[in-house]
Amino acid sequence: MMEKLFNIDRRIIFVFIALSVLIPFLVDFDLPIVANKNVKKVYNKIENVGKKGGTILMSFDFDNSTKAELEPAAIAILSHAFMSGAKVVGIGNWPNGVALAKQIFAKVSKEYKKENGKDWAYLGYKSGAGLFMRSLSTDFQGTLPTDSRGIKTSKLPITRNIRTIRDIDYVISLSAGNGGIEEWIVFSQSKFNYDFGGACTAVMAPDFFPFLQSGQLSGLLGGLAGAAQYEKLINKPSTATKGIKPQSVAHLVLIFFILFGNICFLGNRYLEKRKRGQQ
Amino acid sequence: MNFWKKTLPLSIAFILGWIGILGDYIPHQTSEELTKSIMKGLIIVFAIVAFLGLYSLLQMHWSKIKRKNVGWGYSLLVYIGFFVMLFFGLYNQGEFFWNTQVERGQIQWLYQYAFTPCQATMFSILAFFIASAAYRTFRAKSIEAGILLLAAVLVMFGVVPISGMIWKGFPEIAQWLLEYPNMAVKRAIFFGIALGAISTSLRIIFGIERSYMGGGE
Repeated sequence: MMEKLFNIDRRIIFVFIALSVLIPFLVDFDLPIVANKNVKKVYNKIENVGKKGGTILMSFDFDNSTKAELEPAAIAILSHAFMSGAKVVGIGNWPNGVALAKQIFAKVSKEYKKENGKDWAYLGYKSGAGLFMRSLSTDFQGTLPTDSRGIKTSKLPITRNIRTIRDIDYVISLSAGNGGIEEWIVFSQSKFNYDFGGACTAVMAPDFFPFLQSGQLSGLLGGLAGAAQYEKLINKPSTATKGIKPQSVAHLVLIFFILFGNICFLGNRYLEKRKRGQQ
Repeated sequence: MNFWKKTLPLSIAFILGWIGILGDYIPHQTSEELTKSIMKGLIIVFAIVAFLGLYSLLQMHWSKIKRKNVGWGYSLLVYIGFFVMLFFGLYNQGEFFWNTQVERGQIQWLYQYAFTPCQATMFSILAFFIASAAYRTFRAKSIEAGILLLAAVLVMFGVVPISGMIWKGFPEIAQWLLEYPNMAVKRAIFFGIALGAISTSLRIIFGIERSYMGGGE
């Protein structure tokens, strides 16, 4: 019996996971979403930048594979920036994320009636990751001479006064791997010492806690949970708030299977020991 | 021959390596301008490397198709996907590639309705495999494995809001685990990686480590 449970068909596990994702989408229920201090820090920084009409640099360092986790965070942060009056300049270190970033800018700027070139600009992707970050930190317009429409950054109202990274009030990277938060810290933030925040996939979040403690990273949105917490702070429940429900249930199912597997394992070991004792 | 194969690359590594290091510590305009120029040059080199990667990818799949290796059909799909995207990218809705990319063109359509769902699906499938693998392999076979298991379960549970509904202490425990034990270990790993990177860099700069030059020496 124990042996059978031990070697349960993996398709059964797949069915449980599928149901744990599907059912919460169909059944409506509320979860108590409470923002943690790292999410609040990002919120406060953007709020302060917005109050003085400053500029935020958003680096879209992800693509479609992590869209489900990072797009809600990007939309929430961008919405908050526009709500609070901050200007936003977007760039990207992941070539496949360019179209995604453009879509996000188009959608959110339309919602808040913000003008391209004046309130926001998207400057596109450049190769080099760390080197690109380092280069734009010392020579912004030289590294990014045009926006994605081909208009010179020296002519755009939003970017014409940006010479170095120090002319930007807050930098935030939405990161899904290499060419993201860690590279920003190693190649740029640690040298030029500016306010830097991040949003990342849940699996990456534990990697960044040393940077949070050292102050190199001034706040962090970890995975879909972080995005949902941000949506709660800006009072704009959206994709992350909806998505966190199936994720919560899927986590519960996963934990159940891990614990169940261990009970079977320990039970099996106990039975084997008893058998050996009887012999 | 020795000059081209050995002396020149070693000299380039030595000179550029030192420029890279010293550029960070000399706050002089000349040094800063030099570093800026090198950075821009390296960004261009990175862009060229992308073409090498592309060549290597197509070459590998071409040889699979030619030899009719197992799964050669997938290689054919790589070619079809590549050339379809390339064609619409270059055609640019009749504006051609020398003009800025047209908004909401065919390439955007392909990106949104073909590429995005494919990539998102690939990533989503991971959830199923992780669940199955966790069930089979995450076992408390020793005290250390038991501690790891307990920490993993508490973090996995504590980071989702449903845990707060059951007991308010769960999110706090998860946060504590991330902020203290996890951070201490991560920091130790980062120190190790940084020291390893420094020693490897110095070995390359001084010509001790030469494997990047190829040739097996």
